[in-house]
Amino acid sequence: MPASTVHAIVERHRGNSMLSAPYLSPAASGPRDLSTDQPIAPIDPAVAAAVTQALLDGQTHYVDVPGIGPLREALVAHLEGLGAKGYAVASTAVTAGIQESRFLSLQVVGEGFDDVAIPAVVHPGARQAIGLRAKTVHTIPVDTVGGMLPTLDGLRQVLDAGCKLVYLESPVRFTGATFDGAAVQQIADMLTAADAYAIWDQGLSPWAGDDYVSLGASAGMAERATLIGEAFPGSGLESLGIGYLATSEARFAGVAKIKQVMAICTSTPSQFAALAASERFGARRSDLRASLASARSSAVRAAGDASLQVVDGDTVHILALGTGNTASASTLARALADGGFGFAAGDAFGAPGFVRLTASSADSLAAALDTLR
Amino acid sequence: MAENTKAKRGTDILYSLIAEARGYSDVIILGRGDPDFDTPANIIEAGRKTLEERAGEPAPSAGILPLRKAIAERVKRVNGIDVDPETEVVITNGGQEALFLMVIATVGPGDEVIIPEPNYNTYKDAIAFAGGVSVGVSTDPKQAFRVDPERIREAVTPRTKALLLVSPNNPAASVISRDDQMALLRIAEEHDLVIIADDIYDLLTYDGHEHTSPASLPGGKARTLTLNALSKTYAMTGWRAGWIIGPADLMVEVRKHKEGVSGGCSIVTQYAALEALTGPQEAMEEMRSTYVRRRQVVLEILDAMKLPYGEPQGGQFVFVDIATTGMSSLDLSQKILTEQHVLAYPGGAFSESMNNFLRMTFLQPEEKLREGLTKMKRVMDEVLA
Repeated sequence: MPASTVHAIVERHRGNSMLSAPYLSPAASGPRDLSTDQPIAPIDPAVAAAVTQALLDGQTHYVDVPGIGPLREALVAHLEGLGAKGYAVASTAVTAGIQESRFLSLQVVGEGFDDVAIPAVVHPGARQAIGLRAKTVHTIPVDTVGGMLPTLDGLRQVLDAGCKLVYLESPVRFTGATFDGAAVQQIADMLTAADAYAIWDQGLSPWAGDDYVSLGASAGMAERATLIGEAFPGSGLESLGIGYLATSEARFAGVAKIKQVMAICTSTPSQFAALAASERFGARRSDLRASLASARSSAVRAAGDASLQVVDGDTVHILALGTGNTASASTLARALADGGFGFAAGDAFGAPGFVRLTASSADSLAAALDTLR
Repeated sequence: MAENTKAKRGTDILYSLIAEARGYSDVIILGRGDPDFDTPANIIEAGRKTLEERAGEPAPSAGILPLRKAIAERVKRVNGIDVDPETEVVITNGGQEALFLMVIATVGPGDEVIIPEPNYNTYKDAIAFAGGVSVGVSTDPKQAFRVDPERIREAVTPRTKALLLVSPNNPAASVISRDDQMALLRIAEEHDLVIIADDIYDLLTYDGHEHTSPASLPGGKARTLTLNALSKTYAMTGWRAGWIIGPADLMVEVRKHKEGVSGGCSIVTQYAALEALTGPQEAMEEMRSTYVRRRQVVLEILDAMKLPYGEPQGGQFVFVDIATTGMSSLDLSQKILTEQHVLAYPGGAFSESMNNFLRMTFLQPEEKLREGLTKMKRVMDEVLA
């Protein structure tokens, strides 16, 4: 018989639907894994060599809680490349991956906010992070035709209802859709008018078009928007767990405090890998974007030929597909699974009836679509 | 002066001392629990191979199964605890994340957690984050900081949900005897408490003292979560390699919390950790032997200086009694750092009741230990004069 305290703990957590949101486990391995958020790329040998050298040089000890200085500088430079203004190195933290960024932003930056608004279609990691300490959750409806982006009217309604903290993804993790510049400015204006705060997951932004606009690029948002994402995606770092969180000076002290409490620091091999990757990121990203863009175009055509609904998206690596109903979606999922392809099920994101395929190479999407013909 | 300690959070005090220490090129670090050894070469090599050959391998939330199997074997061999690697082991970003997860997975708003004092500050911070209440139970330096089961029993209230046991203790370096662990487990059973156990120094005990994991005792496993890590014994502080073991039902919730907090751990760290546990152990054994020698050196010096201390039964530090100086531990550690560039941690940063102690590690070469202690004594003599 289990001890009753243990039983009570287990039951308390089982009743927490947010915490129990499905985790996107790695679905497969190798070129048939199309389940990931980011394209999986091999690590540059020069990055591996740089990490090894750092370890041999003694970088095996505790480092600064918010991350090593050069990496934080590289991350801020990356944010500035996206147009973000006013985010300082001193208030930017290296994290152990995007999920830690979600946790720190929602539970630490978000401390003091009893309510949070999230899109109806959102990465399950956001729900899990919210579930760790109770908040009242408001749902922002999404445009099911337009890439499942949260509607601006829906955002306005939750703000008018008094919610002061919103969590937004752009690109949307499930579809790759992005808010355009005008929408981003409207969001910034709404936040300012409502004296509200945003957490902006821009982790997929390297795969969006050159016209991508970060919320951090709008005037005044450095004080209102915390930016999170993976560090230099597409560099082969996905399994090393390395991300970022950039926020205002006022909110950073709390982040650093809890980062110390929960981890002391981020793994040094991961940090030095990200630092080395940052030096090669621009060229690598360009090459990968070009090849994935071409592959996606072909895949969209193939999906149309297979009578599959292609959801609008702006990133070169994500293809969200639907069939119009959940029964057919199950058939779709089964076909992919039988073909040995990992994929992300829409149910996990709040989009039943859809699946997401993430391309890591020009061939991987084509092979999956062949299975679906 | 003790007010300084109360006003500032303990961890903040320690980090501000660390920051000042960085400014001195000749500083002798006797404060932080970061071994002065670099990670053994075979472990670094495992990290290199992982980077080159399998960096793209997915990192599951509970950790790679080979590592969980190695941990299960280790805890069976070292601690006498049987765990199923599939369901009763979760890999964490160091012992620190393990501690955080164990607390937030078990403690709810208003729950009381009994913690013997002195203790590592992070426990109180994690409990506060979970909305719980830390209930400190003092230990007596004259009894070698023994965790007295009767004092623990007196601290139990209807709101008590957990008992947090750290052995060997940080910073007091005391080891809970097997008999006391049995008595504490009986209390936990009587009051249906969860035990949160920190085993991170389990391989570092001295003078015949032996570590007993609560989960190894009859009836212990069903109500105990236990953390450990490779930071201290394998000099892997920067890698962040730790774990939690516990009963399967509770570990489901631990894993969910891990998923919500940070997801899977770095694949490079995990394969390096696997090598640490399954590869050659000579380097680890040599480090352990060195700590034993250094400990002896430190105690001899302290005895010669007539500085009393709590008997370091385990861990990597000594808790030195500075009561004769009449200074608070914060003021004295600050003075020693500023004037002599030696960093030892103030006991008051760990517990308000320990403001008469300094924690000093023996994580430096012998000559540095001698030099550091000599410089500390210089300051203390000046204060006493």
